[in-house]
Amino acid sequence: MSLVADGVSAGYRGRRVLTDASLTVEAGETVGLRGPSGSGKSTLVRVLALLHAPETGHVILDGERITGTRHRVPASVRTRIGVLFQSPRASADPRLTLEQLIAEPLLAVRHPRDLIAGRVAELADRAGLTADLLARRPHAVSDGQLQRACLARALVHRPRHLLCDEATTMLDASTQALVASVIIGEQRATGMGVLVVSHDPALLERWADRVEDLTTVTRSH
Amino acid sequence: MIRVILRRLAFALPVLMATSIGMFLLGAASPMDPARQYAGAAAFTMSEENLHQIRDNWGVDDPLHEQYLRWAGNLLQGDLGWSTSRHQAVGEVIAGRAGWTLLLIGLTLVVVLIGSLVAGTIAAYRRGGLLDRGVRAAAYAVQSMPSFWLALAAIAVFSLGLGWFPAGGLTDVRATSVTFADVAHHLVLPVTVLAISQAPWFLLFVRDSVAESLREDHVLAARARGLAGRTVLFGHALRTALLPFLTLVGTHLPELVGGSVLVETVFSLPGLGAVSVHAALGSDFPLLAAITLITTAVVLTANLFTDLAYTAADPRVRIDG
Amino acid sequence: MTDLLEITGLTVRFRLRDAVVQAVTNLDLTVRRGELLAVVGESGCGKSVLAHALLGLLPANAGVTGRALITLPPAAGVARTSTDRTFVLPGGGERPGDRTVVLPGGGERPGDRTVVLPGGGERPGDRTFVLPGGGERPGDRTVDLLGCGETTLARQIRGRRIGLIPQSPATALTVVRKGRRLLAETLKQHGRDPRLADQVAAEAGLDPADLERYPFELSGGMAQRLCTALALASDPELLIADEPTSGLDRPLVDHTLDLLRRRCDEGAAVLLITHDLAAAERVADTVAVMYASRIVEHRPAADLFRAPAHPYSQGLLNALPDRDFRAIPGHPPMLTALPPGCAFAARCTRVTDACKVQPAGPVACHHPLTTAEVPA
Repeated sequence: MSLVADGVSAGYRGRRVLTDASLTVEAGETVGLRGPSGSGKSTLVRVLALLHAPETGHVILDGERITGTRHRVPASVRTRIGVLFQSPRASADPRLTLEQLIAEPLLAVRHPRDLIAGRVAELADRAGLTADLLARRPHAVSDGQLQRACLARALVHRPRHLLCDEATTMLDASTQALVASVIIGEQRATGMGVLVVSHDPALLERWADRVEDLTTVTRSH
Repeated sequence: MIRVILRRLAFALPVLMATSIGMFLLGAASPMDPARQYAGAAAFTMSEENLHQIRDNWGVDDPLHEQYLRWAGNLLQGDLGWSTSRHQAVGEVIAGRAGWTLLLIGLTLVVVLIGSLVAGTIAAYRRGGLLDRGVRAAAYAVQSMPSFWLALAAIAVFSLGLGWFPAGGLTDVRATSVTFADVAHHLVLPVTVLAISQAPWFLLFVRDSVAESLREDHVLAARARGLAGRTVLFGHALRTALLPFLTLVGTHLPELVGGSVLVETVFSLPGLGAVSVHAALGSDFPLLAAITLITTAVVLTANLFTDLAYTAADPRVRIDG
Repeated sequence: MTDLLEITGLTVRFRLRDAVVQAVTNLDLTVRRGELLAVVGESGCGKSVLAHALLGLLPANAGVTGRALITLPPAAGVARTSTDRTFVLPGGGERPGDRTVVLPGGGERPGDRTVVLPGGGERPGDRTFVLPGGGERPGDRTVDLLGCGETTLARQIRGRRIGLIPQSPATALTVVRKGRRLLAETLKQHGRDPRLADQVAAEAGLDPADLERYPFELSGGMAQRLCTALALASDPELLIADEPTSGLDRPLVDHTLDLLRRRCDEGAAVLLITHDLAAAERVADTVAVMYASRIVEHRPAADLFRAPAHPYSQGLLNALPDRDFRAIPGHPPMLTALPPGCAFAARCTRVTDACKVQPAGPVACHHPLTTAEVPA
């Protein structure tokens, strides 16, 4: 069970930002990814999350080569990957309460209704969100609390692979530590593979099993 | 840019066809008889044979698609047809009247734009204050009033009551020639009424858009740099808040045209608006078709200009055509 | 060093439809010339509100009480002309290696130093110059930022005395204006030559060629550098940097921090608002830790990072990846419902009944950690 980017090149409207990147995240391991801004780290995450079509190369998920992106990929495949983005404000629908936010991916695949509440409560508890917080909307909670809700949402389908794109950059030290501990806990329970993209060398050194540099990852081989 | 214009022209053709066909179909559904309208009072005493003869001459009983194709064929040869309600060549009708309608609409547009920009910006600057609330309340009230009612009210107060302005027409009844002062005097009420009836929409938009932009990050940052209030307002807040305004002017134009029809009728102005009401009542297809074409063409051109202006004003936008 | 900014009892409250948000409560702070003060705390604790309150940029529903006194130089005549430190050549004509410097004017201040320029001993034609120290100059006046009114703020304070590097550079730039235009406009507003735009940009680390771009064409890092350049354009005495390191990679973070430090060393005062403890540790002279709208600890940086006194500061430091990497249990109270006593009590391991009363002082705790308790 691994998530592999194989010779991926990608860009936007004619401008290529990523050339021939290859990266593997095995089950149960935490891979750190660093690199200068604008070097294509976020693009690589989007390709691995099956949100952006690469110009060349493929994503290989659990041994299976994936063609297509977004809705062209069946839900059963897409739910194997969870993503956590840098800005919780930009990732949260301001009309939903935190509880609805976490439940949304389950509702989208028509998960049995009676089981949803239980699963949401379980994840909220692990992310340190109390009941009164769950009833609030994004504007009434802090960035740290919102990112924890986004984390719960990312884990709701028990993904086999979790991609974190600078997920803790906007957070204070304590919330960062909490997010990391929740992810590590989930990893121990399910054998999830994790990719952590970050600028913080201390964080990568403490958290990741191995650290890759985007410049080496994109060298042609 | 040339490519954009050419693409728009190509797109315009099917739109023009569709609107003219639509107009023909609507006219066909109308129960009005052009022959009866032409005959006027005599229609009651005229024999059915004569009426039939008139209809035959004009070909108004022919199947619809025949009438349309005939009209389209003539159009391409430059012949706009014969107006049954005006007893004139359509070309003549339009040439004599289009100018006045354009004048009315043009003046109104200028007054509306300037007035709503100024009032809306001031209201937004003093958001929540007395002026803001007053302006918004007045805008909502006026928006609910029909333009012809406003016109009649204006005539009642300013013409009949105070005697300041004439109640209608373009020139004095006794005038033998058209002078600038005379026309201007006669246009004050119609332009004001039309402008007031159209302004609320723009004013409310400007007010909301500017009020919101004054709290945006980049405006706060500009203030934080110590830039003068005027610089912040014009160079930063308005510049971004009014970008959508350009496009909206283009899309709102048909409303303005519609309003002008009513105002022209009430004020008896010799424009196309008044004539089109009469033509509709008499099922005067040729004239209606020509007016529809012109109006559609004007709206399409205006939209093209506003879109081009938008791309010039906003560097993020590249026109797709 | 003298006080440049003295804040006493600053309280900011926002009136919402059904609640009151207490963003800042009873804040006391002083910033001196040449001091870099870091205000540290998690997002949503009221730090950015502080910056906006000082500049009078709060929205209409904000209620502000307290005083914020800033020292301004004498009103007329003695304006600083340039930040370049050029020295006038000694008598005897130019020598290779000599540099020219223009000194600021102003009366004598305590701490001023006199310098005889090198010339190999005094020569006829050598002149002595007074370098500015940090002391108060005769004619200095103090202005209360919270009470002086919009006109004074707009004409004399914003940009001129206080420069702000805003929190989100991407949205803080007007999209329809090119970078060069923004910079030139600001320079002109403050009486400087608009052609200095290239120089100011370069000083902030931005390639002058990038000034030709529109803000939406700039990457996050470039936008940050442009915003820094805009804040520095008017050479303000107090620089407020609001989360200047968010979303930037390490080299740029270091560059920005070093730039702020340099400004400090040259005599400016810097207020660094951040949640990034590593950044604060790198450049700060003093640190104020904010929690739930109050300052809970205000001490010299070296002391705080070595031995924090407040349990929250301790918890925050322990959460760092190069220490315990452990989160503080629980979560901070909502600013609409602050408890009457110590706001950290619910999460604190040292809590007792005494904590039902709001603690005060530079370390706002009834049971502060002493140096002896902190592990080596």
